Amino acid sequence: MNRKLTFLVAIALLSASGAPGVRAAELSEKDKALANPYSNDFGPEAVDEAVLKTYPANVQAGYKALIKGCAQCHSAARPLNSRFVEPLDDAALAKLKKDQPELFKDASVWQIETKLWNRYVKRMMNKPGCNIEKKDGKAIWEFLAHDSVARKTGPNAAKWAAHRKGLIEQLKAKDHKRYEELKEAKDL
Amino acid sequence: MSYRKLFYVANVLLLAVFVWALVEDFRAEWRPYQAAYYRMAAEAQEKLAAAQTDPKKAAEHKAAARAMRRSPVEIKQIIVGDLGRFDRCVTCHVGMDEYTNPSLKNDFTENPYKAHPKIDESLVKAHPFTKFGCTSCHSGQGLATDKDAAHGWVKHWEKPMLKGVHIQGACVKCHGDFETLKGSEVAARGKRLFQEHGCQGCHAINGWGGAVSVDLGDVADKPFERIAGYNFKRVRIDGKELPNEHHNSHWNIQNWILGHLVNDPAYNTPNDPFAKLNAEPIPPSGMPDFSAEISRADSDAITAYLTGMTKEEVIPRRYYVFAPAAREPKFSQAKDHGRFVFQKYGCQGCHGLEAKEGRRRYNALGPGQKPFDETMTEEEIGRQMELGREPTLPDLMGTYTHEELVKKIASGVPAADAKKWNPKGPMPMIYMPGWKDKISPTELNDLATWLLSIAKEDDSGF
Repeated sequence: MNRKLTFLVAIALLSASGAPGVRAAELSEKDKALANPYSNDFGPEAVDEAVLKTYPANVQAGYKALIKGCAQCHSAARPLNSRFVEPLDDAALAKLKKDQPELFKDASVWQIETKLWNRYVKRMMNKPGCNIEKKDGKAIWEFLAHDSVARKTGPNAAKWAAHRKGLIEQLKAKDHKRYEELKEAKDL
Repeated sequence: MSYRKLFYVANVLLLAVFVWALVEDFRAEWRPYQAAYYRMAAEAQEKLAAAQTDPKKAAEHKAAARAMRRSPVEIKQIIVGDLGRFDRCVTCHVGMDEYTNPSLKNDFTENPYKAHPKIDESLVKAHPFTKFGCTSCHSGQGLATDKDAAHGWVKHWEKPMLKGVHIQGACVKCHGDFETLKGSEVAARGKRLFQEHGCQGCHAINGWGGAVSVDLGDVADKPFERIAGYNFKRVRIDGKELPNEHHNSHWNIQNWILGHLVNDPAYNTPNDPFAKLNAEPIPPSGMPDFSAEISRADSDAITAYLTGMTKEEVIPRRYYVFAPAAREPKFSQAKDHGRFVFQKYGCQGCHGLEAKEGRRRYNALGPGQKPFDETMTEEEIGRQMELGREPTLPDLMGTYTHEELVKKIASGVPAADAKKWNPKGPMPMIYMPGWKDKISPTELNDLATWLLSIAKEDDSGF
């Protein structure tokens, strides 16, 4: 009886492993992104409505474009929980360095550069098959640049650091190999 | 039947076998060729004798003519023990037998009667037939004595005789310095073209090059059983289908290689992108279509070069000539060196000559594709999957910093990161390997410098 039961369980497991739904070739883009996750991917896929309401109208429009456009290839969690911060210009960067020097000490929590999001949005737009229009790309960039400064620096810096470190811990716990890989590549 | 009767019958049968063997031998294909050669050579000597005014010389020609007419019709062979050659080619090609024709020259223009071409050239002089035989360079089946078998145009003979410029592959297999030798210029050009078009980006040769596709270090040894069949039937040379016979003079590794260059390899090897025969969809050959970029003559040159890619030791290693390492050119500008690095590692194999346009990446995303729609016809889906492309680098370079670019090239892009156009279609095959173990840090830096220099102007408006 035990042998029969073992045999049936084995057959069931083999069948399940060959089922189309779990084959790597048929994972959705979102699932595939999660197969090689970044810590960002473990965070929320949306910005708090209350926070969003405080943003200018054009920035809110950019958020909508982001949710629609970026989800073609990955979850919105990836840009929303990113360590990237883009100050407005060199003067804003210098001020940030002066006012909050601690933000420049841990690049896994804050990577601060002018034009950082600008470059990344254009890179994604230039990927084959990306159908984000120029005006939407500009709106997405405006949102990401504004949001990155608003939610990750100033009075929100400590809250952001705790959030970001929590995500890194989640990655470490859930996919240690990937964590080590990204750590070695200085891309946590 | 008594034992006596059985004995008589057996004797008669044995006699019949002997007679049959004699008749078969008498009817051998090579006999008329050899006899015709002697006759033609004798007539040529007689003509010379008739035209000669010096009686002594005329007598010499007549004697030579008599010797030709009296020559026994027999199997002739060149035995080269240390190379394992037992070549009977001179049984038919008597003009190339230095015992029958010591000067190794004659005026005959047709095979198998004509003498070996370029007999006075150093290349032939450096490989005397008595020391190298025929098949060491020409391939074919040295022991055979009928035409098809001797040329290797028979089943199970894996190395048929090399034709045309492909013979220069024979130089490549032993001479590491073949690029500097007179007589192997076509193969040398083939190597240069192989590198100029970036083949080494995907195909390593003896470990040097990319690991995206198969190492071609022993491509000339690929067994016929692996290439003959459905895919070979699709190969077109000069726009024509090859004669539909297995193991003949056309279905050989040279035409298989050539077929990858003068046709679209995806047409040769369409595979099963809609999973009609397999559990998983299998993409067509991942090799880009070079047919518009590489001319027929250049394709032949690359084929000649790759014909030399064999691991079968036709010649013992002690005869091999190794080449000194080639010296790389020096550049005063990092940008110029970067362009050289791009070509050296075969990046153009995927990203196009001078990085101008990404090549095909089946079922990846590409410019001009319609959005995927399940209601499309299979033909349309196939067409759209064909439009998948590798990145066109000038479009992207402006979005990277130098440091980011170095990091990207060093780490590559895993195949699993590919985004499919058709979610149910095959995974795009070609991917960007990590180059950190192959490209030195200086080369990487200069490559990034060049790539940034070719970035297209930002027209995004923000």
